[in-house]
Amino acid sequence: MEHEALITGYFEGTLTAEQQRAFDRLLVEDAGFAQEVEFQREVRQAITLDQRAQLKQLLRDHEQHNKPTLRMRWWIGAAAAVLLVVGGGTFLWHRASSARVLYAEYYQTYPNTVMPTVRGEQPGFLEQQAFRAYDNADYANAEKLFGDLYRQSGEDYALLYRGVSLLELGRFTTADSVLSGYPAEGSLYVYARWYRALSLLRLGKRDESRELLAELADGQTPVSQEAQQLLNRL
Amino acid sequence: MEKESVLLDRLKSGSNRDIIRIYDDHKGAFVRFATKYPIASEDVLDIYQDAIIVLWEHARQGKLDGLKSSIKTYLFGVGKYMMLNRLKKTSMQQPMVDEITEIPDNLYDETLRRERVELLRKGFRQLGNQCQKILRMFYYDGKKLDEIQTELGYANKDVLKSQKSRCLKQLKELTKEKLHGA
Repeated sequence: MEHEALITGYFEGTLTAEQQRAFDRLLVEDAGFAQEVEFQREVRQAITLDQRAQLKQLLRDHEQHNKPTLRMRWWIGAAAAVLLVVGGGTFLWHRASSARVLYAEYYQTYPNTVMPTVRGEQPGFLEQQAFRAYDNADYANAEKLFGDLYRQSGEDYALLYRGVSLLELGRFTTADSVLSGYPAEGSLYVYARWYRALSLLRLGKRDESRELLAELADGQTPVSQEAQQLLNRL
Repeated sequence: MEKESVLLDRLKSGSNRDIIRIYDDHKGAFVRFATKYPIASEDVLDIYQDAIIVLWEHARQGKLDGLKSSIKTYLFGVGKYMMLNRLKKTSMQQPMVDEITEIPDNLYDETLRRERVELLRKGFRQLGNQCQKILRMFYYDGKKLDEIQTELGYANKDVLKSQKSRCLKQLKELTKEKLHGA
């Protein structure tokens, strides 16, 4: 068994008794192996501490949010008064610009999880071209090629990658309509919803974006945490 | 009050809203429970928050699956342990002359390790979203590569494996730069 597979099995807790013995032996005999295991243990510890710190912050913020002190109440009142005096125009401008800032903060290109460089795989020609354009950040071509690919093959993922390519090109309205067509039973559905929520936010449709985010935050998906964070800031 | 199984599912789901709900549900009772111990009121909430985090982690790791007592009892048990621990630490803050002889040999290694972990934590925050997600699911949520592959929609396990290796490599480089730069 490869070293990497042994280490993975160790962290997954799936090593057989024999593999465990091989693991323990390598730990003593192979300094490089031992070093790698130690590194990954430290990574685990670092991520655990990071997650705990985030949760702690969430609970602290919640606690503070629930109990505005007299001083804070005064500030809230004063802030509201200032907003009224300065006028709705500035407020609306601020809302629009903050939507842009939030979009920029939360948007990240969706990675190519479908067709990376795996040896021995023979994808179709069009698919290969589309992903190559996407990986090379040639989004204008990627958008066209994923469109063609969807028409030819009906692959759901082509809709997501076309949608993200459109977002990269700043074509938010088209991105929104493409992403809204992603079927609910597709394996990348939550990502299509997430990017749609972002495109709606960028288009200034806060309520619709908020609705989608609330739905995502409620579930147990890989984007739930980010959706909740963004929702709290909207 | 919700059924225990529903509560456990909520804990496992790990959405922020659910954690806050559980936090609010038991806060009052915990604060009253804590009056038995000589702990400052501002520390009680701090300990309660830590106990909620432990409860949440244990639920996700499946440690509460065969639980005989109620989740509330478990939570209060964790909180009680933490309060006693805090009291013990406070009472031990008086410096002792003999302590100097008891410094463990590996203290230096331990300090270095702590520094490395802190650097890794900072490096982790600098990784892209996808890397953070994969590493978090594997090392923190304790998910197997197969499960991560399905959840994140990877076409096959090799793709995920090479992505994970790249993420670790990137993290290693980020830390190395800082260790040398420090």
